[in-house]
Amino acid sequence: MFASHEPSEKSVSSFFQLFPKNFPSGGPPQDSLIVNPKSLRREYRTLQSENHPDISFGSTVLNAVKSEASSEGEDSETSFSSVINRAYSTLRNPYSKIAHFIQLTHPQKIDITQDDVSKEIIANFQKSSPDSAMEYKDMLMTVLEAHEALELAASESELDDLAIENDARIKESEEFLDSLIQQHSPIQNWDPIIMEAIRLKYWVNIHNGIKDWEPGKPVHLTH
Amino acid sequence: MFSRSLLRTSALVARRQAPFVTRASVFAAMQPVGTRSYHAKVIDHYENPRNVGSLNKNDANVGTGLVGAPACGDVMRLQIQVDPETGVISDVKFKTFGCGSAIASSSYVTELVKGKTLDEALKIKNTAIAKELSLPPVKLHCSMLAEDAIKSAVKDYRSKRQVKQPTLGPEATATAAAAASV
Repeated sequence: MFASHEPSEKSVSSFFQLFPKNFPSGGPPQDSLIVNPKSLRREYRTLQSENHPDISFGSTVLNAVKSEASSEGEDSETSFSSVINRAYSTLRNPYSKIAHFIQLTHPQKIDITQDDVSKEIIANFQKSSPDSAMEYKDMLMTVLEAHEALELAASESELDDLAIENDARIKESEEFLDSLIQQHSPIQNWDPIIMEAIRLKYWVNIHNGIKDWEPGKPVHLTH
Repeated sequence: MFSRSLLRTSALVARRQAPFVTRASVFAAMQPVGTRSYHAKVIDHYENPRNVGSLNKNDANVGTGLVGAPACGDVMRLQIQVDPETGVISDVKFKTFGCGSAIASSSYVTELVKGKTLDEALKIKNTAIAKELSLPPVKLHCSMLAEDAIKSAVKDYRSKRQVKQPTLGPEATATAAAAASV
């Protein structure tokens, strides 16, 4: 069921299913894409405490899968702990969450975290109409300006406006994605979803830039 | 919210004041002992990026390229000032928000295109940039941002000229050739 024992990093097993309290139906489109970060964190901590390598008690949720794993002769607690870590870090980030959903659900299982995959979709989007081309350019301009504003912020209090503005972008983007997924299920046209996911990536980067901001420290993105 | 012009001006001021020493320390902290380390050229361009800044985007002789790397969320603006007589790139400025490799590639590419004609600049490939900076394979796509930016800036410059130039003379021929090649 889970790909934690496969050598490939490119597992297409659902991380959503690991968090049944937050995704009772196994994830979007049945569940909403949007979850409360605190609630997700709470479930993560519960899972982690039940499955920590140092603790021998197991959760009922994962017991079935665990016995499967131990039959493969691996240290199941250690590997489940790391799968839960990976699942949580994927789902808590709005961009990697939607990228994971796309990879699970898209007919071609495409991975939009690959630059060439996303670029091809952007190129088609820009070619579709002069308005689309302009819209993408405008978005890049907004991203550049947000980073510049962050770069010249002199004190922490100056970040507040940027953070409020950017959090609103992330919220709007997630709500739009959720509505696209919910209203058009099964999904026929993936392009608008992927384009919105790409926009979300830029907003998430700005979010991280704001979070990592320190006085005098240059804006530096790690990925 | 800030007005756009105010933002730009203060960005310039901040840039002048930005101590590059801190960049060096950040970069050093990024290299854990025993793992892959960056080539000296990358570090040099990252610590002391060349040609950072902006040109007047409304100038008819300035082409502005604005590109993004969707998988990383990096953005780069590259501007070229072109001599309308010779078609040679006389000045270049860039601004990149991204990882160390993206900044280094951007900086290196500005040095590369200065003094080149537009056609020569268009021939620059990201593989050449990556090779020069000895970028590891996982960072190859970071240099793609720089190649995309050049193409975008040249395209912008040419589309500007196309509207304003007459249909006669050498520039018109150049524009026609450019239009044919796109």
